Amino acid sequence: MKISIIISVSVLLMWMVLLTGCIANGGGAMQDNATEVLGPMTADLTVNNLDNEALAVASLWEERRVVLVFLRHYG
Amino acid sequence: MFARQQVADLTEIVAELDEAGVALAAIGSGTPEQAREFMAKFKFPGEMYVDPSLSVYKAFGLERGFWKTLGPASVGRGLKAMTRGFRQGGSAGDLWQQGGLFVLGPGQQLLFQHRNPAAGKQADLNAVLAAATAP
Repeated sequence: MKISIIISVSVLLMWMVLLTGCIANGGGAMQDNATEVLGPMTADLTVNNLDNEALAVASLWEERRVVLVFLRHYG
Repeated sequence: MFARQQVADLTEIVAELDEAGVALAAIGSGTPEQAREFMAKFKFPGEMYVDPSLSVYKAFGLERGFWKTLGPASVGRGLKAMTRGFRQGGSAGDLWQQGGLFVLGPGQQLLFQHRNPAAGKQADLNAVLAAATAP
């Protein structure tokens, strides 16, 4: 009985490790440097500056080129 | 920890971006106060904005999820970052939200896009620099 529980738990753990590895890698192909045109996805969106004032996010690149980094969290 | 690592990496290319007239800006998921503290502590060399609602993250198709933050691959990258001297601080913002990097503008041009599939899997900065400084 104990052995079957140990085997079941081990299999479950292995499956979880494999599954999370696949999810974490997410297929990988998410980088692309081809020139494209932004869709209307950001048209109405805003971000706040450090004075907590809202501004259109599209204004960040409307008249200039910008490297825009999305951070995970401040940690 | 990965945000700190990313700031350190971006600091290395900011002079070349400046020379090419390309701006550097970041969006975080915390509050303006948390962003100010982060900027002061880690000397982010660009503009900083916040999106606590995550609506802009979502519009750009960025990933979010528990396993994307704490999956084995992310933990491995975390250990690697620790060997470079980066340490995990207190969380400020959405812990499960993943980041990304885009080169945009002027106008509606999208010159480079990278969505981190999991924590710590960041864009290749040589490719970023090439896209950002291309005529």
